Amino acid sequence: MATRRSAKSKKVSFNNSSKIVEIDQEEIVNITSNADGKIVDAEVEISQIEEGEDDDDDNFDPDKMDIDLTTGKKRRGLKTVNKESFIVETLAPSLTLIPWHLPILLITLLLDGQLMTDTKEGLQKGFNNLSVMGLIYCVMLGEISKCQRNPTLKSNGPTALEFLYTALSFPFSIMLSIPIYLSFLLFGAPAGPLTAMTFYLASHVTLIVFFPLLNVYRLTEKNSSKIWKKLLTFQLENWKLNQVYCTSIGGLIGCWLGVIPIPLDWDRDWQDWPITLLIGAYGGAFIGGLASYIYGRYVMRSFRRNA
Amino acid sequence: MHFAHQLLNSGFGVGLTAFSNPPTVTLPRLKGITTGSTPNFIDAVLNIAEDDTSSSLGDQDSWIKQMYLNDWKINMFGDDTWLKLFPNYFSKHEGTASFYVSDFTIVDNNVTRHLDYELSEDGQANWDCLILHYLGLDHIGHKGGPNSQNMPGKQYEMDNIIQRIHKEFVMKDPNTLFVVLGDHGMNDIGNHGGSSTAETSAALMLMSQKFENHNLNDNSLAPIEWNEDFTYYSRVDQIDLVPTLATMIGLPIPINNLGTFITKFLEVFPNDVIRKNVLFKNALQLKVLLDKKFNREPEPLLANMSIPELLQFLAETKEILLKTSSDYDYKFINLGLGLYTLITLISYVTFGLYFKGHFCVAFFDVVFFFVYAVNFIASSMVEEEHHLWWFFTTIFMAFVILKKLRSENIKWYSIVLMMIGLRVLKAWNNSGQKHNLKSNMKLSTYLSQLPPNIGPNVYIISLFLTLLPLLFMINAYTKDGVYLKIMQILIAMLSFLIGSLKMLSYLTETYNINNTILELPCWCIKFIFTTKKILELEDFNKINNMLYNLSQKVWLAAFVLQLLQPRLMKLFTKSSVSSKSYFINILAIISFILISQTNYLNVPIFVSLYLILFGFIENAQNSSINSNIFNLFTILLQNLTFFQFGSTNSLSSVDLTNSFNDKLSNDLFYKGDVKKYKFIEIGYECE
Repeated sequence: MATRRSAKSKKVSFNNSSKIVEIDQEEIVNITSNADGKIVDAEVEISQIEEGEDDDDDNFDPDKMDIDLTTGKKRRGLKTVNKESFIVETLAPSLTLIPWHLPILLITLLLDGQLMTDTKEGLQKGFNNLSVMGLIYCVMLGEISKCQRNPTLKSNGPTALEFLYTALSFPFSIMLSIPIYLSFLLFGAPAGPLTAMTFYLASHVTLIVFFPLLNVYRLTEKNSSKIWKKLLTFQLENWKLNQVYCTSIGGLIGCWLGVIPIPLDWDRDWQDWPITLLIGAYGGAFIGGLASYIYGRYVMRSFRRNA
Repeated sequence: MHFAHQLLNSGFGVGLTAFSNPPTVTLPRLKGITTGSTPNFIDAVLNIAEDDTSSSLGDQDSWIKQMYLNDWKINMFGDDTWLKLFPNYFSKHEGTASFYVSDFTIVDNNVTRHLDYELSEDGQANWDCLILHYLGLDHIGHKGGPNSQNMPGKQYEMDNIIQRIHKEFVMKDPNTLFVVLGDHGMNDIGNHGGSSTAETSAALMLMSQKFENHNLNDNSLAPIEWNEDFTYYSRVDQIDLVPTLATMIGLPIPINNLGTFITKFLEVFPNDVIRKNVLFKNALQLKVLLDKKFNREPEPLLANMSIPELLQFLAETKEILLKTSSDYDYKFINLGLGLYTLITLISYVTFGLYFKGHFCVAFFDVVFFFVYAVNFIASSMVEEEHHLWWFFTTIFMAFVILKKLRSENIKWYSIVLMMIGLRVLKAWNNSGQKHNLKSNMKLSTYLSQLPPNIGPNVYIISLFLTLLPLLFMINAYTKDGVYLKIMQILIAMLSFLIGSLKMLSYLTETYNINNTILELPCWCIKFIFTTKKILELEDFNKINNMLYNLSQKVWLAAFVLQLLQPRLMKLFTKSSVSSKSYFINILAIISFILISQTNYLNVPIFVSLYLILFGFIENAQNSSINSNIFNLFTILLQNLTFFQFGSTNSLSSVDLTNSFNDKLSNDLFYKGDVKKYKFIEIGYECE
């Protein structure tokens, strides 16, 4: 059917601060197909290359769906991605980047039990705790990203301006819970008497998903609009190594999967809206961060061994 | 039910709540009430298969058969299911078809008109048992639910009939037993067949002069306040009626009966010896069944059991028998399972071969098939299957949107409109069992509960929104002028006919036209009077039938014309038709027949379907080349729309509202769920 000759090359450089910068090279993949006896040459530019060893796992990559089912060849001219002028920086894998506060908060929330008896009050309490812990986590994130960006700098903690940014990004992410709420609604969240609950859920989710991202990829940076466009449309290269981003994605996916137990007829009080989704969001974010960390360590070790 | 309450309170009548075994549809219930056995699920199917004769109870023992053998004369008027069950037992009968659910009056008048003769001196001499099966209440339930405007009037009518029979017959003869019962209840939407409390709790009332001084109603005074578990007075099983009835009228208990004598009525018998005999008779009959079940040698029943012992024996035996009353042939079940597995394997292998080499494309499909199969293990997941479809549809849509987001020209409004369309589709009806209550928010209920001065205005706007896009669709792609004009005229006629049909059914179903006509907007009153005047008809059912008949003919003309379009064009104008305009026109015309077959409250759903289709075409344009995406879209929306039109996997939600829109062609074809095919049609259009 189709023969694909591709010369993949990948450069990964580690600088002193063990920052991983992956440089993707433009490549030309020649596809020769003789499905109908004709020879078709197609030049497909691919600019986004995933990790080689992960090609099989990543089945749900939309980019790969552009294959004609009848002939099995890549479609011509479908992908013309312009050259990337910049790269979204990734923080080096580190234990401190894992959101340890999320499982702790979740366990205290569940042990407290108020979530089941008085859901609204429980959600409010959880939200207060999450805000405090989230603020601390975000200040820490800001520091880490500052140090990694500028390895020679010896920081004595955040400056007043940086503090101000973190403080301002908090109400901003709360405001983001409105679009999050609307998209929840469009994706099937109940309206009517449960509106307040959904809104609480949305505010929790924004604090888990957007607040850390806002503090790593600051809106004050010069490339921020391009970076955020990439973040929001899931076009990040090496997103698997990006711990903070994986935390956010994990939170969203966990929240989505959290809906599954609700229709079961177990008649437990935790099956109420939105408790399972909340658990899913907390758990998913933590697992996402952890998985990304483990993956990052694995990649780093294999590169070290090769070098 | 003023008079019935009076009877209950004076002690003439004894009220009970009778548990009716699911499936709660007429045929299995009648079997239960007459033979005392529990139903098979095949009976639920036979309930719909009208001309089937295998459901006959001619050979089985029932109190009808016992009466017949004892030379009783039985007259039966009403539901023709009785005639199907007992073909030769009635000396006089008239059956009424039970599936014309839009008819509330004629079915009942056909029963009531016999009362004049049957209750007269002359008539009374000619029967020993009179069975009347009224269908009106059931039909109103199917059509408008328990809160329908027609409900109070019908109940009043039934009350009057009870009063009449009581006065003219029961009070004259002290040896008469008068039983009033419902064979099943109904759920919040007015359908039945499932096993919810509301469906299985049917009313049962026995009346006789002999009950008067025994105070059998536990001092409860009717009317009793509504309660959540539908328990009024005490609870019995509906099959308990069989031994009770047989004992009271002095006939042998049918041999297959599993019911027990209703303990309450023991008091009616004068002394303990007779009471014991009554129970003994019932116990013996059950004992025979029990011995047969366990293949035991019949051991002699202890004749010297006391009354409490007998009662306990009866209760225990009944429980054992009910549990074991269903036998299965495991050989055939296993064979079927084996064949199923084989077919599954074959289809997986062919699927794998088809996607060989690029299996990642079909990854979503495989995950979906797998989850769908696993879904059927849990019964609650089967009841709530619509969640699964919604879940996968949103994942699928998110995938389509994400893919679109990476491209350069994003049309935000199309994405938002598509998602709003989906959300409205979900919110329009509730499906499933767990949250399917009237109190839960759903848009169709809002629409039906709007006050009379606003409701019709809102409905007519939604009708315009539903029908106008179809007109535009035809205008947009058809090139040829003459043909377009003919098509426009036909489509405009169709829109007008179907629009007025739906408007009329909205007005008659949601508002009590006779009482609230003055509160309706001015144009509505004019509309009603003009239709009545033009068609020279008074009865809304007849108007509906006539309009429906007419629209069907226009539709057929449009459809045939459209199918022949390429041929005609070649013949007259020597031009060809583009396949896009051809399929768009077919889609529009088929949508009309689907709209006409849709419940009037569901008609606005079509607007959201247009939005989804528009958004999908707009956003999946690149990937619509990819047949996999397109196939998934069709499968997902087929099933999602099936559930969001208010259907569930339960038999009780089969919507009979539009089953006999046109009485002239009572073809079972229309009765099926036309909706499921809705998106297949849309499918053609994309291709």
